[in-house]
Amino acid sequence: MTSNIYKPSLMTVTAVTAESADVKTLRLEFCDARERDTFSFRAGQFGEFSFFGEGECTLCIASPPTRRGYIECTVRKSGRVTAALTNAEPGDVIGFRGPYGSAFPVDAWQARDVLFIAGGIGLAPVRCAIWNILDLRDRYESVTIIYGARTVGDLIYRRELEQWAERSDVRLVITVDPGGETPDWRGCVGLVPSLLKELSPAGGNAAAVACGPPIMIKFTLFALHELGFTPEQVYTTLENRMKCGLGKCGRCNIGSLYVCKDGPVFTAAQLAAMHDEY
Amino acid sequence: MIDQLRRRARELLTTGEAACIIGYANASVPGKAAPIVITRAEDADRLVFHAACCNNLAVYLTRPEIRKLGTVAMVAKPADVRAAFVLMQENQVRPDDVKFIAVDVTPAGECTLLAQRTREELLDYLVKNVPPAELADDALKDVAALEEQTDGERWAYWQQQFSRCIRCYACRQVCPLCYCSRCVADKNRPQWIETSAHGRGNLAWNITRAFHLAGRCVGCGECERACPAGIPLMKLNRKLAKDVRDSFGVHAAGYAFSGEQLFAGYSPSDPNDFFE
Amino acid sequence: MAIKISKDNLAALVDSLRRSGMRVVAPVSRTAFTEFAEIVALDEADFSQVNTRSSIKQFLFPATEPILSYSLEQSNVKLECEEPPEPRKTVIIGSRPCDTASLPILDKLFSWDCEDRFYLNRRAATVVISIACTDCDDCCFCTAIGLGPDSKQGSDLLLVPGESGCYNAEPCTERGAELVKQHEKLFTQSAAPASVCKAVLEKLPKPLNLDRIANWLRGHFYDDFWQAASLKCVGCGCCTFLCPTCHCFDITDEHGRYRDGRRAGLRRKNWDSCQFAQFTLHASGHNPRPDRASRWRQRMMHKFLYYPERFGSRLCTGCGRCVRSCPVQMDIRDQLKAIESMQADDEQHL
Repeated sequence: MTSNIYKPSLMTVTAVTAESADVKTLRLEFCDARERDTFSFRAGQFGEFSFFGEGECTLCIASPPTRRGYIECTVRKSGRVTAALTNAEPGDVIGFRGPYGSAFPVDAWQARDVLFIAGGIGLAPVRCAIWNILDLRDRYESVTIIYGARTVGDLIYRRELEQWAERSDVRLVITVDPGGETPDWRGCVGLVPSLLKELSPAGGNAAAVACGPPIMIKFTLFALHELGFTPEQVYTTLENRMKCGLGKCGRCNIGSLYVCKDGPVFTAAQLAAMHDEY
Repeated sequence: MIDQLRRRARELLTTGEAACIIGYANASVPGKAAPIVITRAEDADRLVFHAACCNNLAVYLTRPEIRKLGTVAMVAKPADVRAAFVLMQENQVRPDDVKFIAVDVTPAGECTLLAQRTREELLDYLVKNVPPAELADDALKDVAALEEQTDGERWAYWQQQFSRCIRCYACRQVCPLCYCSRCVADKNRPQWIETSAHGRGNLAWNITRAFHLAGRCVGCGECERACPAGIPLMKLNRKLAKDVRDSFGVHAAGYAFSGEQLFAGYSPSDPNDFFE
Repeated sequence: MAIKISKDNLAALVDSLRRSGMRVVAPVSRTAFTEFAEIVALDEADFSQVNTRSSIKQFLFPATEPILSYSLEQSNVKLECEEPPEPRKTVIIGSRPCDTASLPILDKLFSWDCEDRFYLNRRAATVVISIACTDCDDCCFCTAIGLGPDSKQGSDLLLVPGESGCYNAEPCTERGAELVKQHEKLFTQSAAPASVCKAVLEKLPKPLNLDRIANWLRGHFYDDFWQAASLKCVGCGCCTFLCPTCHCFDITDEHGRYRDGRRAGLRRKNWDSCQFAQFTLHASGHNPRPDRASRWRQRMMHKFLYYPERFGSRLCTGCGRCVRSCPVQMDIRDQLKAIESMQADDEQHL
């Protein structure tokens, strides 16, 4: 057992999926068999993924805890580390520390309707929860997924979107922002919050998860409120910049909360009590 | 003198010629002065000017929070005027957005408010009365001493000086000419300069900082004064000012508020062919 | 029974500690600045200064330190040094009480939830002998923050300068008592307990009402005060890096040399500052603290509200380094006083 809390586990990249022009999903397996067998996490948790020589970056675990033997992360090329990760190839070895942070209480959602709302790359943490629930489908009531992106080219997890669309036990609505559609686009055109209002899912005993860019979250939370969802029913994840993931490095705080320890999953009720620093 | 300065500040604010005054006020630490930004005429009485007023206030001209306030009038020592001129020359500050309340200290140590107000008048004043401090014979003595050393001695000297750097970037932040919204030291694709406060990183940072100021530094000495590690940064700046003068025959920076810059211009007739 | 140690015996203590293999660190004035450095004999130490330029933080939490080393050959990665290094057993002599008081504060952060052994191993290997202050300067404000020139927080042994060059000694921890016991012969009985340097106390500021300040902070996250208070801030990291309690850091990778066809590299933990714009910049370009006002607010809030709420200590010991070193004379004392009086006004209007 190491006494170095910053020591990563080594993981091999076993598959790389191009999601969009600058987004890739890496499938990773622990190099160490014992770590592979004992590793567990909960939907919504995150890790520090590192490309040796470039550094670490914070990403949620995008695959569900119900699929054992591997984890996946979805990464957009935006800085030094993410550029290296998006260039990774099968066989490459990268570092992983985690799992860290709070999780979606998926067990508490059993026997309830679940509504997933995601924008852009915000589908990554939501996808983890979606598959978690779909892998245990009979324990949940209705499952609705609303997913939006700026343009058709920005939609990620295309193959899975098709799989969800084909399932009779999932209601999937996909939309792109006005102007983001292609000539052969068959989905909706419009912003996620307005689409949500049109669909007007019932609050009732449902649980809602909303992840995406800050502006989308803001209007989505407002729309959910109007639809009768209480703030305790609505969950989101925050992505404040982090380095350690362990409540030490001091950069992810919102007030006296550490997003890395107290989050990243928060209810809208918790969010409403925070200052605007995310 | 201070009454005249305050009167002028009050006048600029009352007439609306300036939306704010950047000047100096006494700090709570006895004998020290600090920059102050005032927007109300009644606060003009807080302004002071004396020997402890050392900050180069031109650093505030490019700050978004200050720009938002509107036309700025700055209490400006010769070095501050020079820095403001370089900012104008580099198109970072619109000449009409800055008014000067120019001050100077006479050789006898007396603080004076200058009658010169316009850019042209101040330029004339600088050319006639204020030789560049960074190129003064006295100031160049320690540069000459370093030049006489062997490469090995100089290397050892600077290694030792830079070893104290803690990468707080005070040198950069107080410099009116380090205005880049994202400094090369903060860029990581590629990581030009290692961020660690170790030999390599500190050497790369301190050398790069000095090089980026070659032909631009106005010799105000703020970087060296601000450095909490006591690194003699002005020795580097002076060496570069001297080399710029000797190699390019260019007078010191800040003695023009328009026209071409030493390293920011390009001419097809340039004798070097490396950037064709 | 009170004890004391003469200057000569303190020198003998240093010799003895060094003979036992410990590194002894003390303030020295080898350059224009007084800084902590390793000494071989007590006469190198300079205890006459009000304080050193940088704090003792660097000996427990250095400005840069490797936290992992690895080597690469294409996709073959090998982790090499992966455990925190064995720290050098160290005795710091002559730390001022304000510096020493930062250690119990930092302990909380580095040990809560999970343990940062890089810091904690050094902490366990470091004995701190503080020397109480007989003088202060215009920037000292320990008394405003609830500490004083002879505070014991964090000290293993506190020395209070007494008469005829002797130090009255007070062990404050078991480690300090053990050290005294091991060097029993060097300490003598003292009739009177250490008397506090009265003259310095008179020069130091009055206590601030820190609860009142926290109350104001709690209610004024959104307030014009922050814009006004930070307008002259130039956004450097002087105050945070010199602060004995500021502890924020960055983690970064650096490529090293090629060795036997493998490229070596280090992962480092480096001091970082909440005053830098990049500190909180998201990958998307969004920055939750986009301006000087929000970054300055974070510094004040973290020190006097968030950290106390989370860990029960304030992130300030009144050492005055932020005041002394600020290139634009940002004065945290002025701001605290202003906040205290705003809250007093608010309370009156209730």
